[in-house]
Amino acid sequence: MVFSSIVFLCIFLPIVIILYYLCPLKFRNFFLLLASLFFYAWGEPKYIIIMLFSTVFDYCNGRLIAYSILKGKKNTWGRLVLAISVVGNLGILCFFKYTDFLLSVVNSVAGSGFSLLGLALPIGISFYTFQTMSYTIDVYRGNVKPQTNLISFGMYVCMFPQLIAGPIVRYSHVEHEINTREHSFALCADGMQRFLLGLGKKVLLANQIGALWDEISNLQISDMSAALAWLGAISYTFQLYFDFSGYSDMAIGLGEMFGFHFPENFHYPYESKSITEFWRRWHMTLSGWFREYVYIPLGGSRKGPVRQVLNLFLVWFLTGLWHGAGWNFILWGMYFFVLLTVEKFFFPKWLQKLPSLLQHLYTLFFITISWVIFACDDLGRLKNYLKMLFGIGVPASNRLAQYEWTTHAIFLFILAVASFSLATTLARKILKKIATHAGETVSFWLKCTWCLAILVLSIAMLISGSYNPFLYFRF
Amino acid sequence: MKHKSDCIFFWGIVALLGIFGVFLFCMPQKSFSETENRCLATFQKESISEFFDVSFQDNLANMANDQFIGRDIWVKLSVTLQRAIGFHDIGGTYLGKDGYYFERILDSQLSGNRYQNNLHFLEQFSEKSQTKVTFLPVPSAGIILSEKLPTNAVLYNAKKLYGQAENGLKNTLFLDIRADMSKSSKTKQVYFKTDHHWTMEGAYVGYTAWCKMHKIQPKALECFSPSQKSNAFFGTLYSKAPTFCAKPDSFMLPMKLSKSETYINGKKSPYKNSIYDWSKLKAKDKYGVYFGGNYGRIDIHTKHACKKKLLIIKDSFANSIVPFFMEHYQTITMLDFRYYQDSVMELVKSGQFDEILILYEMSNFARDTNFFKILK
Repeated sequence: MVFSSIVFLCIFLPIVIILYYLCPLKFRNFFLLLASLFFYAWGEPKYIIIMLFSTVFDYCNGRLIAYSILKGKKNTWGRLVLAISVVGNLGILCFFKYTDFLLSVVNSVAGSGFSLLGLALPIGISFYTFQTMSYTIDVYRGNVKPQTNLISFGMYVCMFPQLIAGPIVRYSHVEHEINTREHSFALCADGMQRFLLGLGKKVLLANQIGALWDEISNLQISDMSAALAWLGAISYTFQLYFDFSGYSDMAIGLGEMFGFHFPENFHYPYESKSITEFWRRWHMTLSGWFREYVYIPLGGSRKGPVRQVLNLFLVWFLTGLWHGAGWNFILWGMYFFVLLTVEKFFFPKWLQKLPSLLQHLYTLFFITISWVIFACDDLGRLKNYLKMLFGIGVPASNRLAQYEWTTHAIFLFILAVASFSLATTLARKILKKIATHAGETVSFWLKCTWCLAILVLSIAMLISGSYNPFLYFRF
Repeated sequence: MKHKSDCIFFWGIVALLGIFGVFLFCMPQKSFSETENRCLATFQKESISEFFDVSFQDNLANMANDQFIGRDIWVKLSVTLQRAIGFHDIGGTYLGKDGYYFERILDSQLSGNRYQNNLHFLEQFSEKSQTKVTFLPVPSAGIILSEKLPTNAVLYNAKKLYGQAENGLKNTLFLDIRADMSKSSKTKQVYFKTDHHWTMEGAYVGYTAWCKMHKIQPKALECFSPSQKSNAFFGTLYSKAPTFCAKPDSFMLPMKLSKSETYINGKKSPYKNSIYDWSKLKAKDKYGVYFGGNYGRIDIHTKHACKKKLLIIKDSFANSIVPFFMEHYQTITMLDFRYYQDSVMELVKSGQFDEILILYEMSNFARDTNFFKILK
């Protein structure tokens, strides 16, 4: 089930919220687990087995690790169980996500004829395997206590708000709230507002601009021009951000409705002045995960520059691969490895001396190119698209480009405004002023009205059945 | 105070969403949308058993969209929103000036060799047949009424397509009516505003051009006593992007026609002494009034003294030109390759036609995947 669908909004969500609050406190985790399993089974009735296996597997691993620590055998048995957990999780992930890719690489290199498995990727597998791994590692490190209640642990792994597309909630983030959390209407109302704003980002912004990218990327070269290729790349840049951050907002909002505080996932990434800063603001829970469980354990920057470059290389190779089983994703990871390394070692000071407008432009330019690499899963297509961006083989502009730029001008402006913090900060300030002068209730209802308008327009767009893809199905 | 507001807002939204959900199931199910001119998905109870192959879920998702309360209003609202932020094309349709809708067809959609192949099939057909073959591609509305398109709007390169036909067709007569249509469009409405078809006036231009080419004396339009049969026609382009404020087209029909009998797929039609299916004037798609829609084969026998026979291989654009032809031919046979499966060659051999007309809207012809059947 996708959050941005009528079935979720008008059937699943109201029923779950009402039943959740009718449930006595001690049954709420169990109910949330059931609801989440149903949510997952809706789209993937068969693969639910894998998720359940993963849950029970790491529940046991967590307890075994805790037991071995208790018995003073952390470095022998504890380490072994941890290794089993990591290998098990990565094994499942790799089997479903990378087998076909590896087979096709082997086939093309060795000329062999292994037939591909053609397995559908279980939805959300990249997210929940990372979450359960964070749990066993943290238990091993002694950062969190092991969860003794299988239902509570199952609820953490399967929780529907963040199950499909993150944020990647580490166990340590919600350890306390799993067992005891406070529900308040203030949090619920806040969560609902957050959810509706996220819905608007997804349905009103991402889907609309995504349709333009879809159109441009399917044009024949005879209709193309450099100006159009740039419009396409910019569209996809906006689509990814609003799709993904809208989804994270919805997840965080839903979490609040059930009393959870999930970590933030995006912080106006397109406002960054460098690629390094960009990755501190984009998909923060993923980069945090890699930092915590890969980069720092490998030694991070503490073991000299050569080792640091190697560590960066590994992290970005894995980050690229995590995003998809394809050469373009590996290339995409390597692209960022190069950029980040260059930024780190060669011109950190020089970059900071540039006028800030140039810093922004530099960052946005390389980010936009990176999304083109991300979008083109066929390397031949990628090459062609990059060529078009630089006007090779196509005119600089054409009439179609003029039309698309003008017809989307207002919308692009709206997207740009929504990507930067300025408008939000301004709106907050105004609401605060209103709150002090006219009372908190007035400012609250003003924001509510805005959210309600977004809901109405989102429903209209959803019903008219225009373009509503889900970019994260392959994750 | 704040606590109360939080509570009202949160439960208010939950209730609002829930009510929409309840309406999905307790309102009577609609199986057809007049506004959008398409079948709607309805709730299939029995599909619950198909939960594990996800078809129940698909059904519910489609049904939830299609049966949503006030669907028409929501759809219009979404179009209004898109127009408000400056979009000039929605759902593959240009929203032009003066209330004109146009199909949005770009070169990319006509790429590949389909058009060339279809021309090639046509040439081979003309070569083989003993009868004179004429190709009359009706120009797309946006090509003739280009000044009504949104600013900078782009359509496929019609000049190129017409040029290819002009140069490529040796055994086929080629009838290019772009100039006549443009001239006529200055004073008359030759295309519908809300539909992609040409109007009676447009079809009349095609008819006169045909007559001129074949040295027939065309009859004046008044002789057919044209009359307005509806003033509430919202066509198929409107259905793709309906708005609150669109104005309907009026629908004119030539009324004074030769007495005739019509056979649809070999069966005598129920439309008495007429080629018109009047019931369609009450329905959404009023263009279906001609013959009740498109069929594989339609034969019209008039009570004319002249013994001339005409074969038309066509898409729906031909339906509105046929009433004029009825004045000049005793038998008119129309084939629509979307539905016609029999051999064309045999029909041509046995039918002893005096003329063969290939009439398609240009972009339809360039995209037609069935035209190979002409050599069958």
